[in-house]
Amino acid sequence: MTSESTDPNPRSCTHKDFIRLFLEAEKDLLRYVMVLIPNVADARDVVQEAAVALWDKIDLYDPGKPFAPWACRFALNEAKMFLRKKSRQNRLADEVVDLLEIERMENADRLDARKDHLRECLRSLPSKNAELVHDYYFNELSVEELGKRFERSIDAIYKTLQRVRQTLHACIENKIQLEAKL
Amino acid sequence: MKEKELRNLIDGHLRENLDLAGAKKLSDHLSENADARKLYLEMTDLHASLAVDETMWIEQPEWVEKEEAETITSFRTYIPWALAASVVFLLSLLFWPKQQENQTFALIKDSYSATWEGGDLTTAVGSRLGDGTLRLTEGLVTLQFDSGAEVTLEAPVSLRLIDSMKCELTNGTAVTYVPESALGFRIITPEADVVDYGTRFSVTVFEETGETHTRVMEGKVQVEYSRTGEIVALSAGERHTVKGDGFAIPPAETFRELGTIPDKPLQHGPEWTFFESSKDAFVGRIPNHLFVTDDKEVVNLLKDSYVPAIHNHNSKVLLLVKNAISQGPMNRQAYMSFDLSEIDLTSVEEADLLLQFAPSGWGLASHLPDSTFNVYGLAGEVPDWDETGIRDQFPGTPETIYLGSFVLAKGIQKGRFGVRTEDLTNFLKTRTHSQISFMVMRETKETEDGGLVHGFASRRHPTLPAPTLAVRLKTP
Repeated sequence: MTSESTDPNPRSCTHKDFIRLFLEAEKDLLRYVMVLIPNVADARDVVQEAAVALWDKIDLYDPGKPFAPWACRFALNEAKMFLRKKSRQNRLADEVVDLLEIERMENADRLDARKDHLRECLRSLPSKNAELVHDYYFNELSVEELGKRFERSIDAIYKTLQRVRQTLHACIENKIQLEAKL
Repeated sequence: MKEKELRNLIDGHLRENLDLAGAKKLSDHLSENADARKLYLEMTDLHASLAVDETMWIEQPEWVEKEEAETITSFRTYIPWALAASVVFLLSLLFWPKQQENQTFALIKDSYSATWEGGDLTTAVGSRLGDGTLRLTEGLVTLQFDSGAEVTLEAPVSLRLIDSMKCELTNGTAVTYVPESALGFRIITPEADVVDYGTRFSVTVFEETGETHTRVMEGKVQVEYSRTGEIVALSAGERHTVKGDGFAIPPAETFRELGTIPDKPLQHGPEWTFFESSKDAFVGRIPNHLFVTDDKEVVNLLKDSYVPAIHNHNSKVLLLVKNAISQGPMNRQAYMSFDLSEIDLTSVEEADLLLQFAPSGWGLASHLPDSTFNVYGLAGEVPDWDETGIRDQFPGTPETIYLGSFVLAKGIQKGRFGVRTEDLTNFLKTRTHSQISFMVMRETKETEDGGLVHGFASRRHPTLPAPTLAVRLKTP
């Protein structure tokens, strides 16, 4: 008799396996959650909550299938609960959230392909803009800190960030169009 | 709802800055419009990918390396998942080859009459180039980037090489060819980025104003405004100008002249007499102009002009000369007349017609091989032409007598050129009138539309010498 067979709650996935699967899927889960919750710190809290829920339900997971698509439903569910708890009035309506949740999953492959292009587009940014988005997204500097560092108003920093995102979006579009032509 | 408004609302959502009305507006629009949801998903995923996927930031330019230490300490307080992710990230940094200080990504492929100034890169043909700045004061130089992009620099120009897909043009003209392997090649300018999607195009930056001119010969490029984020797509044959303040101006207003620089004095002995045009017309005349010497008389009655004049494409200080592929008003010839009534023409032993070339700021030197210029003397019925009055063509039908040629090598736009031939001497000796007129034209045609317009200083130029006729007379 092996030690596993004495476990009153035999699981198809050990804790170690789960950690590995979760770490692999973590970035994708955050991307799913951030469709509804743009604040990265909040999104991380939500994904952490989702991790607990996932571990509770891990017996339902079929190891023969990819983990991330299965897990993302939990993450999105946690995200919706988070939004309800916050009960902020200036948030998206529930029916829109449901639509976005469905379409996010339907568009997973398309958005993954866009993400690959984003990596290239990021490299073609002018150095000043690249430095700014790097400080904002990677170093997680606040807009106030960025304002001081770049000697610009907070509003100007927000505007630049918006502009850079739009430049990156346009760059991705171009790459996709070019790909389609080839 | 217009796309711009939708984009602003999505951005407000990403900033968590939407008020109740804004959130409702966005919500309503998203619930009704599938395209809006598509854009929303794309923008939120872009934002999320930048925020959570640290692999995005690997293999960045050198400024990332400088900030590495700071980065690691400030990166992620999120435990345990992010800690593990940080470990993965740090390991990936370890395995990623660090950029070598001497890493190169381009080479100097060709060079025509090149003169370099300053800069911090080697400049011989065949030299490999890495990050650094090139300053070309004269000539043409073609760089081949490892990505496959080819950039021809037209002096005067200043270019910083960043990597095989990117360079920064701070002054002058760069003509770029981008094959498929280098799609997305980017030229950064002070006010905009010009991104190439498989094409040939030129970009000119005027250093003093920051103005950026883009012209597409083939394919498509995209001009991305640094300040406003506006993106303009250009196709073959189209031009675009970004003003120094970061906004577009209509093409008709974009023409302007490049600055010109003084040159060294002439090397003629004391036995020579110089006839040049009056500089009185121009404020800023240099006293004791370099051609004026105590024992030489300067004749102040001259005129010069070029034809035809084209609206918004003229120079007040240069005489423009061009030979385009197509027939039309862009083909220019220059005319000048000298009053030689003070001398006995039959005693002319030798003569030299001197023209001081300077960049006109129009057209591309890359579209022109070595250029031959012909000088003709006007004979027969030469009308008393009015310098300010001729616009479309030179009046009358004077006979033209070929007097000689000179060549400006490919890429050369400035310097003193002229003819000193027996034909010129004989032409002067056989004139019966004291007012002598010449015509200068470029024999060499451009190889492609939009080629360089050559220019040489007129008598209205504030600093450069006007067309000058130097003669050596028989000693009595």
